[in-house]
Amino acid sequence: MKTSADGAALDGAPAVGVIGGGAFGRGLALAARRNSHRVRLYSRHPDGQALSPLTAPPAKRERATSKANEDPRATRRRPAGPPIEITSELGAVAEASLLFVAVPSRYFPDLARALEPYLDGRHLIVHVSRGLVGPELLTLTDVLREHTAARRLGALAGPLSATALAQGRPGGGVIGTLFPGVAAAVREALAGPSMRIYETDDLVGVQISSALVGVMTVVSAMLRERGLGPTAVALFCSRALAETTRITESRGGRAETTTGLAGAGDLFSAIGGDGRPEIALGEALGRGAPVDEAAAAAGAHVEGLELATLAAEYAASKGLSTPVATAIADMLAERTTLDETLTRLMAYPVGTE
Amino acid sequence: MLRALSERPLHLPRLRPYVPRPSDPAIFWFNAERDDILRTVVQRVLEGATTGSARMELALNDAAFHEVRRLEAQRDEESRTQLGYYRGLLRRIGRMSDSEKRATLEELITRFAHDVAGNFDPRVYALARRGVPKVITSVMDPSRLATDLLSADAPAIHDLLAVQGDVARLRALEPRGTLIYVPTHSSNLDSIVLAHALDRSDLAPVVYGAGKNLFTNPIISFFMHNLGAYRVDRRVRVGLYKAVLKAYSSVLIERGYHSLFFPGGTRSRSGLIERHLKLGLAGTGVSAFARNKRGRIARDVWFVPTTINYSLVLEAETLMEDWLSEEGRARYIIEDDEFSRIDRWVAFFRKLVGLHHACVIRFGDPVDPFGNPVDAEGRSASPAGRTIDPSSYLLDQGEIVLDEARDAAYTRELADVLVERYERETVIMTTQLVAHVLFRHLTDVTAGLDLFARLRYRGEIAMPREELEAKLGEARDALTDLEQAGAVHTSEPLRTLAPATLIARAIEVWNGYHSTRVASDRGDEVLIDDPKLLLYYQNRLVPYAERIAGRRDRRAAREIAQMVSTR
Repeated sequence: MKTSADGAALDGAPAVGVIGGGAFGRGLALAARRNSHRVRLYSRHPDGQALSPLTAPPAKRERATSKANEDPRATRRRPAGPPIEITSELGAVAEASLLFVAVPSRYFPDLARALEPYLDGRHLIVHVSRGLVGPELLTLTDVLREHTAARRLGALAGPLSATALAQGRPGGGVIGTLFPGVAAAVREALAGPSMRIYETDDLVGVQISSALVGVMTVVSAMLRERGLGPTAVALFCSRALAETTRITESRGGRAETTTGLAGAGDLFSAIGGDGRPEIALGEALGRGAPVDEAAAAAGAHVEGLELATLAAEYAASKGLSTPVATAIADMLAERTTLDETLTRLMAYPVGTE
Repeated sequence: MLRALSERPLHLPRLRPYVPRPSDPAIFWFNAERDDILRTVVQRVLEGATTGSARMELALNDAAFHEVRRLEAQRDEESRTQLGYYRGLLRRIGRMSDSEKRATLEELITRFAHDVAGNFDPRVYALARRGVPKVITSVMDPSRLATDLLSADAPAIHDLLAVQGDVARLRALEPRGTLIYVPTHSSNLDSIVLAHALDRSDLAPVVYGAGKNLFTNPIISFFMHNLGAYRVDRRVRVGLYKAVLKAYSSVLIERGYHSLFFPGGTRSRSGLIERHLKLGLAGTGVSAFARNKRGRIARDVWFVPTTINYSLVLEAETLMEDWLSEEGRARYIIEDDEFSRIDRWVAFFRKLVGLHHACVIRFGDPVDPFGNPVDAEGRSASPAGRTIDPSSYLLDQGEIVLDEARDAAYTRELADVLVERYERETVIMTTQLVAHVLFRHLTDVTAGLDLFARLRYRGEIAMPREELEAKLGEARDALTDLEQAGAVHTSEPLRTLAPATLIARAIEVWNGYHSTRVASDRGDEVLIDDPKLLLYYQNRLVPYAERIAGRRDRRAAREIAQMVSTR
């Protein structure tokens, strides 16, 4: 008999599996439980303190949350449901047909290989990670496809924050998938009066936009920390989005995805200050901290700063014009300083938009 | 006379029916099953179209509207006989009761189904097995066609065509399920050479949805009509017609008829390996698999990615013209190309005779409908080599369900797998590599120019012979390394002959067939006469260009890759 970390029985397949015990994984698990699903969560550290609230019965836990930052509409929906089951076995979480993956992208290839023995055609796998892999800018669903037998894949992106998911505050996102069945399953698991999930078949576009917004968030925080005003930040973000569109189209995605929830929508949320770790990282970098130190200070795995470099190299190989990405890549590699970067970008010939 | 031949199905008289043996492939039963197949098709399409009055009316309007529009524009024999019917229908629809609508739909669907359905005559098959090589070679001298067909000595097609790949595995899979061959498409000769390759490899004949334009060549038309080909008229835009085509091909696959589809939809205009596949009818393989699984019929479906590689492409000039012209992109059917001109066939085959391995067909390893590799027992494997059950892809809450949207998504995924396989299974031919090295040189010395400006350099740029030989040798070695790594294949002459011989052969093959000189040997240099045709042949190399370029050629190689990928 399989048992959970605290020894409780794990019999029968749960409806939803979540891989990753970080803030996002916990948020997804809570959101699914709010929709009355039986949820099993995989974590490499099943005894971690952050997970303990998940295993408590829902009513008790939610009473304990502060009223101040909770949406009243969400509070009214008090779903009953079993506590979230925590496991440290991938096989146990893969008993669910719908799996959410919320692990940092750098662990993705290893995770995919480790999951392989437990996956077949029945699985629906949706990830929420930001990241692209290698010089060809492979998406994380490409990685899953390469290493596992699962085909019904999706990427959930957009202005979704871990806190909003966990607390049921209004928010929304977009699920990129070729399979309408995957989108329907994600909606059933997460959507509700305070959570809108849009759908697109531009799986590539969603993942590229989402990954590059991660980089833009860091850089915009850096610029603000350096005392640059909203106009400079807006200039940077708009031009960087335009470059994202070029890269997206070159990889077979669509331009409108970049301007939708996964790109612009997500960026608005980040600039608006939704408290994501990339902001802290950018601020530390803006204060002049070395990259390693800044990442440590941000206190989270911030994915893909090296992505700026990958994107710039990819663009060069395809003959795309991406001056912002190239300048950022040089700065992150500490070939140029922030001030030099700014001067260089401002001196770049102005063209038509 | 030829016209009449090509428009009407020509059948042999029914003297003595052929009685199939149990060991014969499914297609030998086709004529016995034909009526049943048509009934199933009509019933299936009718079920989909008659779910409510509004839907029926929409289907009828769609059919009448599109057919009237097509026939009015077409102004031929077909218009004269059919136009009246559809105009009348268009007027009547508004007054029809539901039962009349249903009856009219059934009539239309039956019409379409009969127009599509093929025929299989084992006698023609036997004739084709013995005769096709001769037909092909005797086209060189049409006056000798009759005597050649009857004579016993087969011309040297055997040497002309090479077959590669794990044929034994395909033979093992044949009785266990339906094989769907999905080759690259460069020429209208493809279906013929593939049929011949199957026969030579002791693989069962296939059914094939042939474009109606293929039937313009009377010889081909005769064989198409009698070897199980069904007719696909791309000009017909009617929704019901498309539904009939899909249902027809799905029913054939479900019943175990090995099939052939060109997933690129049309011949590669540019000579590039297809990268955007629509799959079209090949996609019905996925839903046919689902239907069999749901009906507990133990017949799997497997796809065989295949590449057809030519030293010389019959229609190269027309295809390239079409690719380069703006309007060309909208043109789907070319009726006046080299394929329908006997004199071009003559020139083409004359050129190829005696050329060792002028065409290489390579069967890639089969995959299941979800892109997983399949072994000789028909077991699907996961990336780590575990056996997995392909029916798990059809599960929804533990039940096998039919779901068109899901299968369409699987089909798109499969297209990606095929694109990747094509690249790995492509066999690079001598002409292609020689063209590439020459074109790369042109690109290098005209740095900064765009494609069209480059193509205007006719007969102006030459490459020193010594440099050409050295770079050809380098490129060949790099390709061989890629081949070792499983990324591509090379033809036997390309692998074995000296660079000087390769250059001489390429020039010899091109000049004399193509209406313009492609390149000419001027002793200590080779002159680039027609950059356009060079581009066509070198386009096969685009995916590997950067990987086979020496350090000094990398910039030109990258430029080639970018120039072509942005078009």
